[in-house]
Amino acid sequence: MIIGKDLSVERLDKKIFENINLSLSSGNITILKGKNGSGKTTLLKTIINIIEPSTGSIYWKGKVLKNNLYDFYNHVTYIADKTSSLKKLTIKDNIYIWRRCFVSNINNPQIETALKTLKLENQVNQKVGTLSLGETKKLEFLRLIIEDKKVWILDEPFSNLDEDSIELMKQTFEDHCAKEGSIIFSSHQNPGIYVTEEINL
Amino acid sequence: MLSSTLSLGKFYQEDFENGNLLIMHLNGFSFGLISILKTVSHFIFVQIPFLLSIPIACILLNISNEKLIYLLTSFAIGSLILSCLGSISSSMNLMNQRNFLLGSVIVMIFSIPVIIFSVGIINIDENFNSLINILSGILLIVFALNPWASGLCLKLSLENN
Repeated sequence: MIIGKDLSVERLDKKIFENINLSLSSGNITILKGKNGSGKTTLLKTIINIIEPSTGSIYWKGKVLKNNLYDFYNHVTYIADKTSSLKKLTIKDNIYIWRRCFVSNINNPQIETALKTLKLENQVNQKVGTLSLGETKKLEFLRLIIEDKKVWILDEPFSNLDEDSIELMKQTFEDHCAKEGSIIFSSHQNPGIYVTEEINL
Repeated sequence: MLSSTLSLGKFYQEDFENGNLLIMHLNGFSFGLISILKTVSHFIFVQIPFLLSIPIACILLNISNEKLIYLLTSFAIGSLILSCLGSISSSMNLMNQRNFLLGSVIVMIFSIPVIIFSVGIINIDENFNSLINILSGILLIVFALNPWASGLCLKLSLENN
């Protein structure tokens, strides 16, 4: 599905990373590992075409990504390390906005089940600004269910999560791969997930 | 112009900081289209309330109905120009987050012709159409420039964020 060939990124004459190759097929998980500042987020942004690589190119379904960009975006959910939920609104309002924004087919019982699984069902009417970092992160993962897309690109998905939530995410990853979805995520260390490719930056 | 300048700070800033600009883009909206949508929403929520207050001000200031129509037309065109200029300058501010002055100065400089022609309309009895044509010309130029300039600035600011 996604192939990256000889990817290098330079900023202000400083090489962030060079000659990175990656390939992601259906049902695969790729992890990007590295220290702080090694370029994990930059590589993820390069994959979603926000940053232009100085050398190399990315292919989506066999075509150069730039020529097939909006088809790629139709199949991708990107969750950044920053929260995208609106802090002044409640969880319920944020879910409503996301459902309208992504024209989601997910129905109310499915949302309620997801909220219960994430243990957020009692905070539905609470403003996002009053939630803890971990709870905000879990709310962010609800977008994966609402958007319901094949490729998940996640930046530091396990930061600020407790052990139960990490286990839940691991299970979610496995379920997604079983449905022929694919995942690229960045992390300092692998929390015990079976990955098909490991890229060290 | 004052309302436009004051509201510039929040034009893109909040969406940029919480990642919603990126989400909109990944949802299939090009940066140009995002800037057009934001400009239209800025015009509706910031400029239209002022447009609605003009008839009340005209009653209080004893301005004739004929001149009220001139005022409304010139304000509608002028405020859309200011929204477009605001979009360009605030998208430039995203790349220069420490200094809000740059964007405001750009708005002020490019707003001067708009202010001159809009204010002139109230004192002119016969040449109304020529002034409106000039304003419409400026509007077409900035409306065409806005998606390109703002879109490029949004892309660059997300790239360097």
